[in-house]
Amino acid sequence: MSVLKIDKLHASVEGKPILKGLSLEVKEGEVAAIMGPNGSGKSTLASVLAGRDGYDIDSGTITYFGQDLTELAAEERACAGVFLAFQYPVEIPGVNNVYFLRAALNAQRKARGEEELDSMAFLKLVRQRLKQLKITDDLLHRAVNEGFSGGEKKRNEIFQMAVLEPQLAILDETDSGLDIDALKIVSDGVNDLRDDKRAFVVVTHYQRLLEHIVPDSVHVLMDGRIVKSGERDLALKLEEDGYGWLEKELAA
Amino acid sequence: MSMLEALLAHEPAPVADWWAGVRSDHRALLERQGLPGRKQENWKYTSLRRLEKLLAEHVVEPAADKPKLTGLALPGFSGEQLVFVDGKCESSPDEGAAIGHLGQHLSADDAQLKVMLEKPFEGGDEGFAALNTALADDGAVLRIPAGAVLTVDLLAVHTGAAQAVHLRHLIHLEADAQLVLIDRTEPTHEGAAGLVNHLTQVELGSGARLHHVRIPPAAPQISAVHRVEVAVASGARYESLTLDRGGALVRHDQNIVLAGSEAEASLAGVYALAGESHVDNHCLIHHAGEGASSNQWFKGVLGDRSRAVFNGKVLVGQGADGTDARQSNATLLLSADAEIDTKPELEIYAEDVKCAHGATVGELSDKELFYLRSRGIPEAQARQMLVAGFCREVLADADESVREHLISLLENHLDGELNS
Repeated sequence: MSVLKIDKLHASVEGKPILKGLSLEVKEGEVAAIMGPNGSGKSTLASVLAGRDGYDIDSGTITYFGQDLTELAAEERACAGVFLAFQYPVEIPGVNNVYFLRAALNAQRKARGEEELDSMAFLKLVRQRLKQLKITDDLLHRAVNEGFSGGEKKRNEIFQMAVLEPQLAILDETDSGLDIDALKIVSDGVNDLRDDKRAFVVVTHYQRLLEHIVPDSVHVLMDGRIVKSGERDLALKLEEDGYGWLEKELAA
Repeated sequence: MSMLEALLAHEPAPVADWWAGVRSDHRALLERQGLPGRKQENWKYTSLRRLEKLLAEHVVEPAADKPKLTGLALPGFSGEQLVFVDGKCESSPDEGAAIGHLGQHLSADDAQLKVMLEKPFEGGDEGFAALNTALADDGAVLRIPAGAVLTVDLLAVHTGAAQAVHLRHLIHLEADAQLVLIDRTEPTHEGAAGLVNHLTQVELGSGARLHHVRIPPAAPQISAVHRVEVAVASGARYESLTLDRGGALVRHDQNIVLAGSEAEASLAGVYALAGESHVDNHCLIHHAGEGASSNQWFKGVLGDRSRAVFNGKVLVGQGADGTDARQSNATLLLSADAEIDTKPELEIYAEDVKCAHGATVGELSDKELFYLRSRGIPEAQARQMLVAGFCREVLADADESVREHLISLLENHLDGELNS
């Protein structure tokens, strides 16, 4: 079954077209990698899917489990099971990480007609997830991302994902700025959450992340469109040969 | 009759001759100079017109029932308490105890009180301070012996039965004494109106510490003028934390003299205002001793047509070498009709001085808002979380005995008034 189906999507930022006819389908349980050179529209795609303000959809459709995703506000998308792991997670001084995450989970549960978790039940869940991801609880009691290192911020994104259990997770350059140890923690976390239902869109500039999170499909995004799709070996070829050969192939 | 004449028509309780002399000097000063007006630089952004209107329209009625003090208890609080109702002390402390009140000393010849009551005011601008000196006949008298450690809840209750209340608090900490003072004014009756004019004088002996938590009244018909005058000796520290939630006109003057070497002052404040509230924070820190440090940290959110003023002045006197003074003021504007007037002032006459200041005014960050929404939190709740988080940062430094109380006051206030 298709989780996400994007059809001929055109999107612009402040009148400037960024996505120019992008089509992509991601099925249940699939990990789809989106690769592409800088400025190709990778982060715009992630932002458009999450519903960030300031991105205009000019034409085309985005369907999520058969539903028009563009009709939903950002918070409604989250409640429907869409999760974006940010490339640059924001620091929010004064808002405690655990408090924030509980508010988020309960908002989602409420929207789905489920009972909200009290603080005891929530902490139990948090502890389970920490154990599962093999991460320590030192980030929990600090303000959201405040003063976190790059690695800690990305780890916090993965931790949030594990607690919120989305149907579709979009990872926007989650590997950028990570050293190899942090990369391993993050990708182990993602692998741990892979199952035959949950779909992932992994946006990345480098092949490196895909050594740890092995994708089911690889799609190359250039100038606002998916220009080539393939399997894992496509990513390896891009790593070895760069994007130049593709540009030539497209120009021909 | 002018507002000043009406205020001065009040007859305070009789006092000893020396004190009556002090009163009449201040009455004369007031008659000469009047209350401050907007032509004075220090009152440029705060007009007394609203206070004038409020007092003219306010009909004083004795409260039909006694105020219910039980509902005003601080949760989990285990320190001492001193209660004033409409300007009169309701507690009956023992003679000569560390905690007393001015009403016990009206006819006495107490040298220490005499020195404090006769002391000239720091920073000039004495209109309301002179009014307080001319009319006050009660207030807390806290004399904390050397090395003692105390927590006091100083509760002033305003039922609306008095048009104006002038409390004079005198606080003296001997060397190395420590006091946590929770200084709050609570209106107890619906529609209680009037002026609450408090003047607190503090003397901190060497190595003493005062943690002063200030919770002014938050009611649309109450005006509060709270002045604090503090002298800090060597190695002593004065800390204040003020939580403002509104009021017709709230004016704070905190005048701190860091007299001794390595004396410290930290003034922090939160203002979360809605409606037509007006809150003015004036701070003056006078670095007189060597190597003293001070910090001013004020944050606030302004909704509707509310207005806030922040004026932070640092005066580094001759010989106050090695001074380290910082100040920062950050304000979130939640409405196009809200206003903040913020001004740092530095006057430096010493060498080797570090003075840092910064002011920011902005709106809620779209990035932060999107981050919360992207996790499923509805927009209204996300806004409120960000506003509360912005303010809560300052409250994190409050003494443990009152921190949770401050946070719940803030959050209840944000839930109600600012949640639009």
